[in-house]
Amino acid sequence: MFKKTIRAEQFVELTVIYPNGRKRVLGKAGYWKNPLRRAFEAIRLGLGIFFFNLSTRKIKGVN
Amino acid sequence: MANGQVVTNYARTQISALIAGKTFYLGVGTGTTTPANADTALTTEVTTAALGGTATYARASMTSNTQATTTVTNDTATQVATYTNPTTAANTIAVTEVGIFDALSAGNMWFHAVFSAINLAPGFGLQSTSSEVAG
Repeated sequence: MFKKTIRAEQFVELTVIYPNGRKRVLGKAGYWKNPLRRAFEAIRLGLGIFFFNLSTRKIKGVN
Repeated sequence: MANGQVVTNYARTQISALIAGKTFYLGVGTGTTTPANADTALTTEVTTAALGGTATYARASMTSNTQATTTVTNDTATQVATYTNPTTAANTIAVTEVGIFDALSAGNMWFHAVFSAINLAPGFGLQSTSSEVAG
C-alpha cells in the first residue's frame, strides 16, 4: 500500500499597531511564553500605551 | 535501489495554492483554552457587547493571501490582517487568541492560535500574519 502523510504546519506572527501607525513586532505567537519575556513585553506595551495616551491627552476645564 | 515515498515539491506548492486562493477573515478572542484540531470556533470571540456596546465587532478581512517560501518554493500560504479596537471609550481588550475563518460571520475556522494576553487599548491594532506550510 502506498501511503504518505501530508503535513501542514501553521504559525502566527503578531504585531501591535499604535494609533499613530507605529508598529511593534511581538514575534510568533507563543514565543514570549517565557515568564520573564512575557513580563518584559507587558511592561513595554503598558508604558507605550501610557505615554501615547499622555501625549494625546486633552486638558479639560481650561479655556 | 532504495525504497521510499514522498510528497513532491509540486504537490506542496499546489496545496498552499489552494489555501492562498481562498478568502479569509481574522477573528480575535479572549479565550485561553489550548487549541485543538477539533476546534470549530474561538473559545470566546469578542462580541459587540464585549466592546461595551460603543462599537460593533466585526472580523477583519485579510488584506493579503499569497504564497511564500519556507523550505520549498511557494510551499507556504500567508495571510495578513489587522484587527483594530474600534471603541473610543476606555475599553481595552485583552486578546489571547486569533482564528482564521472562511466567512465574515460564523463559517468554518481554519486556523486557531492562543497566546499570552496582548492588551489593545482603543485605537490600537493587532496585525496577524498567519502562515501555513505544506510538507
